[in-house]
Amino acid sequence: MSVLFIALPLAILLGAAGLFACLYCIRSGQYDDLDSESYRILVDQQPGKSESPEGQE
Amino acid sequence: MLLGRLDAKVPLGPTMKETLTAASRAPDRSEQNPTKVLCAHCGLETLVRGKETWGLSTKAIAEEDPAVENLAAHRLAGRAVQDGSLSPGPSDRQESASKFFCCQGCMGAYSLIHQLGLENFYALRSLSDQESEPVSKVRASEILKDLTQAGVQVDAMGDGTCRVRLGVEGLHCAACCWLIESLPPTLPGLRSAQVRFSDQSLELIYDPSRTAPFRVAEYLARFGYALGPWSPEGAEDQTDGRLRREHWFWIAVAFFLAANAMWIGISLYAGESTGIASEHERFLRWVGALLGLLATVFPGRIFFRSAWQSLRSGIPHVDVPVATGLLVGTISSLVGAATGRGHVYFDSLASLVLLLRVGRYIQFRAQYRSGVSIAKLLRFHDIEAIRLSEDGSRTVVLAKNLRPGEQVEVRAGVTVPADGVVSSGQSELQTAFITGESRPQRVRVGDSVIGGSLNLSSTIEMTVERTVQEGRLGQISDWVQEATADRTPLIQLADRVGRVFVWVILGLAILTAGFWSVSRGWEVSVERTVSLLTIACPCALALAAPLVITVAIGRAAKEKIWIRDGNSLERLARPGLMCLDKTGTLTFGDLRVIDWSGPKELLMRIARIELESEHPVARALVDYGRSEFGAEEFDRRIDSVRVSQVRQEAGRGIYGRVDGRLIFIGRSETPIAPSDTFREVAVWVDGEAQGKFRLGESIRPNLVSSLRQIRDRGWKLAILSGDDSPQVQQIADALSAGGVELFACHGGLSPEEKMQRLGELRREGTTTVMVGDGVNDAVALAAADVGIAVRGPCELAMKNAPIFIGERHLEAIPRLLDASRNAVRAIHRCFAASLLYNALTVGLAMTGYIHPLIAAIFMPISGITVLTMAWSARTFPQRLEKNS
Repeated sequence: MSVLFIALPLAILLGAAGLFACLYCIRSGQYDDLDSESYRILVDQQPGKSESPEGQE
Repeated sequence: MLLGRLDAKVPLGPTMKETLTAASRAPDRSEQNPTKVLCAHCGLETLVRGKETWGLSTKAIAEEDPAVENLAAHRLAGRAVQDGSLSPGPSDRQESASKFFCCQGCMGAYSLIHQLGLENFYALRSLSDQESEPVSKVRASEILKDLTQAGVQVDAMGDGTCRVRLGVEGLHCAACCWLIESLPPTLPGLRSAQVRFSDQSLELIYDPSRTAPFRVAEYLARFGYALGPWSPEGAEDQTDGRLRREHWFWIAVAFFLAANAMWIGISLYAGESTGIASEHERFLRWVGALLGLLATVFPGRIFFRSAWQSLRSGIPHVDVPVATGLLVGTISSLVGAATGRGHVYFDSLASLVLLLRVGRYIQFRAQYRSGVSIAKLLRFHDIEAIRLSEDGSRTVVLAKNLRPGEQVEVRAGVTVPADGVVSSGQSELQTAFITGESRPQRVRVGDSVIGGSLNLSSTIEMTVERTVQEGRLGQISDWVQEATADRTPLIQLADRVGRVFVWVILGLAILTAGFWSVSRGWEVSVERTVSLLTIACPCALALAAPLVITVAIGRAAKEKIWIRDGNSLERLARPGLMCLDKTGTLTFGDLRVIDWSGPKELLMRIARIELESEHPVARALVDYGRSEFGAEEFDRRIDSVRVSQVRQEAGRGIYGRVDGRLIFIGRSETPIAPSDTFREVAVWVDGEAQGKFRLGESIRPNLVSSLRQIRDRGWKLAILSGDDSPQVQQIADALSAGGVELFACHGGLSPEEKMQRLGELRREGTTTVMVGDGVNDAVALAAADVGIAVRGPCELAMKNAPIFIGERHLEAIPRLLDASRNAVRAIHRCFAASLLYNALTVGLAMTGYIHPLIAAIFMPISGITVLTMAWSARTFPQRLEKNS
């Protein structure tokens, strides 16, 4: 049963890793604009066109 | 939907203007008779020919292009050029292959989009068919030529490119977003364009040596999007966004801690029933203690802070009992974990913190950053002015950059950009929005004009005396801020209950401590008192009100009532005094034909001439013609009427030649009485009097019945108007004839007098509500307990008021009052449920039958009950008729 002493902190640490990832996302502003992204995902990249905006000018 | 909008700088025929008009009217489309053909670009079903205030008037076009004298002929010619033949359909529809367009503008945009290979736009657009508010104004891309002057911040990027954030008007759906973001490769020098929907802005990254933002603006204008300086609301948005991030941040942390603490709690409870090794129990307790402690120390910190503030300021707050519960629970659980005796509540505490944090976030969303918002609507940052320099050249500048002494040209249909004096020309100004005066004001050389009023008939030149900020509008704006600052904050229901709650719990705690220390000794006494204080934490109490209010606000929005301030809803539950503005609130502020004494057939010709004018009388006559003939017949026939030589004379009327006959619509040389300027309009054909129109202010539909409903709910009604014409008394008389007696009726009030009157009426101690539409009401709106703005005739609608009603009639107000009462009742029910749970658990704690498991079960159950009750509360009563 003493595995508990290792497993529990480990589980919490893993969870904490997930938490920090989430906090990073919030801090970096990924949740700020939930509207545009939901539209943007509907858009297919057109083949041969605007693959990278920088490349085409 | 409203994509047929183009930039004002594009030289356009009159049909374009009608599209603009049609687009701006699109949400009201249901009022018109729908036709079968849709425009392939903008999707409009029908053309609305009603006149709207727009940045560019017909007159202005005619001035820019002297060749365009016969506007109707020009339109027909344009159509013939476009498709080689006149289309047989009603109004201006054009056929190109199998596509229909409502105008050249849409057709141009359509072919442009096809040329660029961006046809996807149309497919995507159909995916999201959102209706959006019409954009108030088309901006000129001129402004962006001088970025520093326009107040646009340019960030230099490392690789020689620049980044700017600009406001976009005309964004509606996925298609718009996609279209704009697909443009960079087609425009040299533009690296990327990123749309942000939430605040309607666009980030451009471009190569300054090859292009400039104004070029992008010109380009986008061809698609119907208008770019402008991103207004400083952005700054407020940023703090808003920062706060929101912070809320999410702590909710995430609280969730993590609560979820883990609960698992540990479950193992402990399971261990208790099945047996557990003591070293494991101790370990689990310590881990749980750590998690619970972190929860109270980090995400739970704000509750202690606000409880402390509440204690210091003496204003009761529900956070006081919450913080007491958290504090006592944490300390006793820590002691319990350390000594291995007594109860530990860490799982309950952690989930409590989570629930409260979520509640706090909901409250944050329903809250109103008061003051800022009403002041915001008075910002005239985007007003543009045409500055005349000494050599006669014109430059477009922002109104705020004007300096006293400068010469400005103000065209017909455009907002006056500053306070000043007319230096040349004469015209009529509509000042209703600023002063509440319903009659247009005639101005000549030497007369002073107020910034923010609307130029109705012809171009004038003026000398700037004060900029908008220093002028009348700025003054009003300052008062608004003062009035908002003076407002006494509402002590929320939850806080009032919370105060009683604190005392009751404190009393019970003393009772418990006293009773058990006498009968069973102090150890038992301490344990039971502590568990009482921990368990009595009124989590559901803190959650209930914000939840109910948020739900109600969401439902209100579906009813076209936009509530920005949740507190307002709470205040409306008890009847008080409702003050209404006249111009724009009780009436629409525009004119309506009451009576026409001439032949009906003449109306079509009259309407055709008046279509060329922006004057309120013109609008009234066109609307009258439409209603007399029926919209469909009117739209079909109006096109065949050919008009030429239209000329407006400020203050007199309008001339036009129709079918070879010269028609004059206007006043005879001497008006009957000066106050009746626009009450009577006569028509002459070839110098022969043919009939007269009698005009009156158009009253809001169902006004009397709506007001009666408000009165039936126990409210007293009063009129506070800025108009000093006999109209005010007439309306009051009409109302009392309809059975609505007024508590008070004042006319001719300036904005600050309105506020004073409101203050006097308020001294009687009841809730004061101000209902208004314009800047002249803004101060009173801010000073009243609840400010309700209604959609008035002006484009600058007060959408940022605490409550904004988007419908044409005032019936929304009685519904709002009902909703408010229902919401407060729902809050009461939630409180009752929450207190019932508390009474139960507190009873158990006092008698000693408590266990942390009971707390752990009851806490979420009471939260869930409140949640369900809040959701199911019927705040807005079902309406009998369908929303049309």
